Amino acid sequence: MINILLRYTILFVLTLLALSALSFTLIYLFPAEPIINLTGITPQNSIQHDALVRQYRLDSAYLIQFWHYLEQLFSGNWGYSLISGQPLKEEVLTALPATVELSTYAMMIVILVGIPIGCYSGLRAYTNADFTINSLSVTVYSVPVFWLAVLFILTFSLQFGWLPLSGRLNLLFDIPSQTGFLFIDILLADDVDTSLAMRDAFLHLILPTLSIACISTAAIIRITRRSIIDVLNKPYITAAKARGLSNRQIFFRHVLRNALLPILPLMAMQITTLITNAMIVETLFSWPGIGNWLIQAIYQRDYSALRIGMLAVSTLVVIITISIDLFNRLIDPSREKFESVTI
Amino acid sequence: MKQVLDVSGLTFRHSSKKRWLKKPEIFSLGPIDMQVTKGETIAIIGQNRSGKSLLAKMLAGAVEPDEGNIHLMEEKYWSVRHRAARKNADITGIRMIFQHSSESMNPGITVGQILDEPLRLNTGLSDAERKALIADTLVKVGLLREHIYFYRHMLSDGQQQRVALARAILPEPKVLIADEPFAALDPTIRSQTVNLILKLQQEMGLAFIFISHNLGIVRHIADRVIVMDGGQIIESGKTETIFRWPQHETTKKLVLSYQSLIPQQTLR
Repeated sequence: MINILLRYTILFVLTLLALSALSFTLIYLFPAEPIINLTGITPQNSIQHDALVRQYRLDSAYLIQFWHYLEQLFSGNWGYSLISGQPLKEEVLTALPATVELSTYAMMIVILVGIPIGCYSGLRAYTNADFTINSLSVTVYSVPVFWLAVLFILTFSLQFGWLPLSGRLNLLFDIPSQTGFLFIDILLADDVDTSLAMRDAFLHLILPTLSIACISTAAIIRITRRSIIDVLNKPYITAAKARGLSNRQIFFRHVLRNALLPILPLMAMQITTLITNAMIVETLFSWPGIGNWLIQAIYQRDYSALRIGMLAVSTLVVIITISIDLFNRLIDPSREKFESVTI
Repeated sequence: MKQVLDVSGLTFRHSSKKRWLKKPEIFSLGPIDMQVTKGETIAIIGQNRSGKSLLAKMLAGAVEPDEGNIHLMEEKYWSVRHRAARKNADITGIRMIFQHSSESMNPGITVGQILDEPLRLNTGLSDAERKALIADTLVKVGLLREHIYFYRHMLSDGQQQRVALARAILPEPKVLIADEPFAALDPTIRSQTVNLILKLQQEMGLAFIFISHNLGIVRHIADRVIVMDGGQIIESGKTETIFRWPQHETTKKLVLSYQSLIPQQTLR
């Protein structure tokens, strides 16, 4: 047990080290001067330039520079944005929760809708209902997310005018950002009509969440269906049938758990797709999340922001992937204890 | 001579329709008639694809037959017209050990839970009583009490076979069916298992129907032999009679192939 935790911790630390090394090399790979890429501050004269170089140890060996870079990252000094001049840490920490919020709701839809439909389709395998569900999910899965989002906007916002077009909340509401998660912020905020703000935030949430969730739901339906069919063909299901168990008992006692265990890592892989899709959809809906922020940084050649944005997003993905894998390892009895750790 | 199991007219038909680029496939089994008395050991032998496993599965209820009746202890156990009969009947009466006994256990739960399920669903025993019974049965089949905490993949093939046996005998069935129970075991474990089953059979008086390709074991433990080919019973009778005076062509070949291993004996 301790061994497993230790292995995962080592894997986690090594992955993060590699990622931070990559972001460190970006300082030298980006076209501008290293000191500008690192700090985001454009020195006005040679005295300020030399002072910054000395402060960030850019005059010493690369390894010492890297060590100093890590120290700066851990102490929270992530540099400044080239364009806005704001500290990057603040910008990332306001943008990231919006993305996490969006992905969480989308993931909830994916799990609550995808797994039951997948189970139903797997239990009714090779019937008309199954074929209908399967072909629908293949169709939805093959639709590009940006096109689907634009289609939603055209239909529900422009044609019918039911749902708001962009943003996270109507500008009339003034919600101070405390945690970064909108619903919690609304609850915390004073002198705001809570129910009205909640309703507005919910309406803003529907379209982006749906357009992200659709594709991952389609993927999860097909994965779950396949897994259910595989488990149903296992001899222990025949054995359970021979013992006289009803279909309901067989499903809940023997099928469900054994079918869901192997697809948990696949769901973790879906999360990365989900976050990527979230970043695309954010741009379309002007959602103030990390994706939108990164695209803006790319357009404006904000090198220091790109470096930190890459590090923040990849750290988030690594944390989620490793923790789901660890969780799966802990609850799956049939996985070998000595199997090596991978992501 | 008390009749335990009475099978009449058991039939199974499988035909997949003709499809594009696919020949129609027709396989039918039966009609099968057989009677089993208390404490009797019956061996089913035959070539591959002769319907042995299917017959065993139909007897145990894992596959539904298309026609026929099964009576257990003079009571209707299964029939096409009374599908509901199986719900009311004592379904612990016939238990089966499957061909791949390791595959026939749920990998996600412990041996204790695997053994607990039939007891919890079929008897009104309390937790403590069930636990004691499971521990006793594990000891009876030659395992340890501690094995209730093991998962299937932690056990060796022989131990998994024993767990499957324990699961089958726990609800005290009248008939035990086993599909090639000795195939994957090495000679030592095999003879241990054979002796174990014979001992249990004496203690509990259950009828034992098994499928085997190992004619040595068949000759050693079976009272009666059923020879199957192409979904039909082509010959059945006392073991010695079948082995000494086989009538049917296929039976002759089977017996001859076995006896060619023992040169001093000749067919009469």
